[in-house]
Amino acid sequence: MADLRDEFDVVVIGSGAGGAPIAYELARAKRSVLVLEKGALLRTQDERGPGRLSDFKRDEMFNAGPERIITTPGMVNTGASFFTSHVEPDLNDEPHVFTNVDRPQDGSKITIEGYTAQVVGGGTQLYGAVSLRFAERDFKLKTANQGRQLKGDPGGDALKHVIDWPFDYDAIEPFYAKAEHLIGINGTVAGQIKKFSQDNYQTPLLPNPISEFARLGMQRLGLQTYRTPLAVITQKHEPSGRTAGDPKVGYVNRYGDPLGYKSNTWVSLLRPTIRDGHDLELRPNCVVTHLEASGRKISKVHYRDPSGNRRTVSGKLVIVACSAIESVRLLMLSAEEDPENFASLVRYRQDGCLLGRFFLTHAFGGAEVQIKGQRFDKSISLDSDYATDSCASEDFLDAHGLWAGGAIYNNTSDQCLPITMARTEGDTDLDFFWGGFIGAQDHTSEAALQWLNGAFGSRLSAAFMANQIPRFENRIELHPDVRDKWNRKCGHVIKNFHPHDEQVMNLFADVCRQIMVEGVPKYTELGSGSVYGNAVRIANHIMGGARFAPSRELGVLDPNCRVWDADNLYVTDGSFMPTSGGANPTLTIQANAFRVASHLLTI
Amino acid sequence: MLARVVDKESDWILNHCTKYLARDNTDERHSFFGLDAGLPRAKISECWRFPVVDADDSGEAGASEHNHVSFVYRGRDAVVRLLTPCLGLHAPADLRPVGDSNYLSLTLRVPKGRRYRYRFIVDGRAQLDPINPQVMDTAQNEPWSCFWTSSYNEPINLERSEMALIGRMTSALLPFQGRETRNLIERGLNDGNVAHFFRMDIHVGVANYIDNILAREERHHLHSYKLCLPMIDRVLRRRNPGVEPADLSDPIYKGLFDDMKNDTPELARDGWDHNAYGNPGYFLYILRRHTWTGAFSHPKYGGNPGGLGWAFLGETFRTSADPSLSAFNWARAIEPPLGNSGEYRG
Repeated sequence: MADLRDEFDVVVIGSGAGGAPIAYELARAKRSVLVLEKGALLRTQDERGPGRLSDFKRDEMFNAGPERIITTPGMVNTGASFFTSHVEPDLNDEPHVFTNVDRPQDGSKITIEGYTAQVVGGGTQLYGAVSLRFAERDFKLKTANQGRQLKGDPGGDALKHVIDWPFDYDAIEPFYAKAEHLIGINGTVAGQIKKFSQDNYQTPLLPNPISEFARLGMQRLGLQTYRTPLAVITQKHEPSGRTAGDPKVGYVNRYGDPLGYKSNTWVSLLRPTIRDGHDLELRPNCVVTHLEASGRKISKVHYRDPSGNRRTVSGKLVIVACSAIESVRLLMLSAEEDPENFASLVRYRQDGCLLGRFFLTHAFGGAEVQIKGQRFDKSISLDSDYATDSCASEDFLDAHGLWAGGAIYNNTSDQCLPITMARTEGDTDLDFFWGGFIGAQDHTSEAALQWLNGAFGSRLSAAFMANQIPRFENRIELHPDVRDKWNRKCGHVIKNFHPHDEQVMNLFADVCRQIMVEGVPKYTELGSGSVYGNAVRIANHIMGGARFAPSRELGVLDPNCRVWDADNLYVTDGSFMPTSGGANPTLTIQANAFRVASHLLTI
Repeated sequence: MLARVVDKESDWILNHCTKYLARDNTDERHSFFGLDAGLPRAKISECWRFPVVDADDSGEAGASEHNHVSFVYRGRDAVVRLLTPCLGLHAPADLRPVGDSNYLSLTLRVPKGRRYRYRFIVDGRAQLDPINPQVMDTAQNEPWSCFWTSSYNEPINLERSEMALIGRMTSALLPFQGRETRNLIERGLNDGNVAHFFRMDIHVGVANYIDNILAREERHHLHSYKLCLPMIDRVLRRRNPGVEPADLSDPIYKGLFDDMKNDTPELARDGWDHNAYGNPGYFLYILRRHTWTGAFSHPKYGGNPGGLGWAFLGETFRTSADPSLSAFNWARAIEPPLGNSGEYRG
């Protein structure tokens, strides 16, 4: 790589939802852009050539393949199994340590929760493609809660660290519309409580018939429904030059798409920009180790090439978008490399340092039933069919004393394939794949057939995604002892929920349960609940840790996602969020990245 | 020759080796339970992936009957040649630089269902592949590295008697080793997909699958199988004198599984040695997980020949709205000739 360019207008670290929109916009505005991506570039089959194959497969063993063993010493799960997708990290090479902030006596564990995919396109390759906007209220939760009394807030501190976003829904709305247009999303506007200036959705495909029970349940509860926006194209998508086909195959959530129908940031943003001849260079299999500063400017980005050789590159602008945990970690590692200058830019270990603080996930959970006497082919589906915003309305929140709302949608593709069905039996978390199957030792022979007979094509669930209370104590740190394969300190996730989160989650879980009760004529209840009490569960929704704020006292980033004391350093993955929103975060990360890009074009 | 050298893009090679090989740390993080202690491969991730055995993705005629096998060597200063019978032992082939990386590689097009030995000749000296853990001895007791392609169905690490016992146990574990499966087979559901059938019995396929993953992906469990299978054999023979374990009925196996699950005193009484393996229920879980993944994973892994496990689900479970329709139309998503997707090439 001796002849590689080493100077660019913009260096973007990470090719997923936070990085790709900026690369797209700035390259098209005649800037030279380099995208550094830790993971591989796995192409669609047609991209590889006529008759050739993609390295994404419709293959359940790619989703969560063979068992591996955690070997990091001193963890409570040392020696335990883990199962990851082929594009997720090897936890022995790149561990994340989790500790419950309220129960340190429980010890620490290695976790896959919160890791997003290491591949060009990042988390948008494996996600379920649910692309909801946040509700208007989600942007102003401090203001919206002034003078309100919350239920389930025994310490009266639920709102202590809540801040408003530095702009309102109206300010980001054009960028939502832009993202929906450029990414390629199907869904319906009608039924959503959010205002839309444009309807850029493609037409949704017919829902899986099993979803009708969920729609009916929502309707009978008086909840207004809409077709869940999904980042899967159903029609020709002009901006990215993609043609539509048959995406309903059950290999959507947790799978990369060999055909490119799923609108990951590679096929929707980066690939067309490169094809159109813009000055956008992508270097996959290159991991950034640290940033170097000269005064207030990031002067060099240090990375390892695919062989592990040390390389540097410089950019007039440096955009960090490695996903929230890894971005915070990168800034901290850079600060430890340069405890004087770089550390001062991010105020690392200084009074008032907020880097790593207010790490957020979501309050989430749901309800699941097994429908009696009816069976559907759930493998002909995308991830979700119907959603409702009704639990984000002011009336709903006031009636129940909640600080913020959320979205509810039904899952369709869950458990539609036989290995996944066994692996996720009992709705166990990502660290405990196959855990329910271990307990179900009676599932053999005829009993296994009876289990399949009850479950196969008959399970229906509704899930909720709601705001989590921001806590100062919830944070990302560098772990002092555990190191990655580059001998760098690994990320340490320290968090738990706030008691009011339990109030939120219990109520939403009950609504999900009621949807099942009202919508499904005969069923066996499999359970309802939430992740409250299981703080490690993150659903790969990782936010906060470098929140933006109107003043440097309140946040790590300014309202344009620039590190306050650095001139050219921006962070644009989910870590900028001061509150996590009542919906899956990806579309908002993308919209905000487009917003930041529009700002960068003015400087 | 059965194999030939093919060009493979440098990016493809890097995409398949960087994550596993590039690193600074030299701890033995990947020696599960000390399996590769002291060996270079204990320091890298997922050494079982090497050489990389993947689809022949050339789009050429006959591609579905071949694999591409990519050999990778770390270090570019040495002259490295590949010596393998499938190219001809008189014709070693040079590994090539992968772009300007520090890796050398060579990709062969090899028929499916084959196993071959090979060595690297590094600066004139023959050696084993330091990454690949698979080694086979020749008749002259010479160790060679080895690889096998998809659908290889001869025992690798397990004895045939062990394979037979695994096959019988998986038969008793799976939901379809009875009349219904035989019906499926008799109805000829797998026309056109029989090329790699070892036999038409899926449990034999699952046993092959287990033998395969115990040699590659989950080598760390081979020892458990080697410990537990003789004990299971002993228990069954003690309980059923004069009858081969493979000939015992499902209810007897159900009793065995219950004893393993509950770790009953009867299990120890009849021959389970807890000093050798303390948790029979955990072994049952491993066996169940392996059985389930084998029976329902893509047929290329060997345990679901011709999609028979999928076909069982699709035939058994019909939609309630229209019983003539399958509740698992797996073929529409899967590549021809196995499935009938008009879009996807797998």
